[in-house]
Amino acid sequence: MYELKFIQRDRCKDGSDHLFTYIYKFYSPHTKLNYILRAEYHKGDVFAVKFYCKKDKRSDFKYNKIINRGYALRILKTCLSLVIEILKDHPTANFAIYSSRSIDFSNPEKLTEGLEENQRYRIYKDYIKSRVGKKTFTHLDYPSISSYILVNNCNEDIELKEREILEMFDRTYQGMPDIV
Amino acid sequence: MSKGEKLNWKPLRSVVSSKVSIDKLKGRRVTPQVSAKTGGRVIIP
Repeated sequence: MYELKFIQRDRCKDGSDHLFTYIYKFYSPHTKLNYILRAEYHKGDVFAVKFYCKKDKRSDFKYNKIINRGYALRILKTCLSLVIEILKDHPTANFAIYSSRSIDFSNPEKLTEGLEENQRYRIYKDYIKSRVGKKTFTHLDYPSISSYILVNNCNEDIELKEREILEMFDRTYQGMPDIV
Repeated sequence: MSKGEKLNWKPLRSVVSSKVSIDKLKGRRVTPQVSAKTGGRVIIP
């Protein structure tokens, strides 16, 4: 696992349900790359966790690129450590992941993965299942859009909370199952 | 042959976003496998 460094809390002023973002960075001495980790806080106590390689920060496809330098599990463990960090200040927080489709930039047509059960989703889901138990969170997956939600078990009605989260994302991201 | 050609991937320009109705989204409950698979490497209980 790599050391997380807090950069800033960035307020979102677009009037949407996305209220602010905690931004962190970490460096992998194995891949010799820096990564940016974002925890975007939304109404309903929901964090959407995202990360990308810093060298791609100006790319529209920074979440779609395949870095292919290895050490993915260490990177995922670092991302999961952020969940623990956030729970200290937000013990009732819920977490959501939307796994971006991969794009093969080595192909002239930029071949793009399908939306359903993409490779990131399969890896993330498997990793979360094997590292996060059921005491703190109820695990919900959405294979048709390659997404995964951890609903905090402090919510009395899990089904109601799930509905609220889905409606919030639907309101906030009209193009949620879009390419990025 | 590049990575994507081995799979049923489509050119980026032909990928059309389609809005998914939340009414059709049914979250499947997943049973964590922490005890069976990880041998104590649970990060969050």
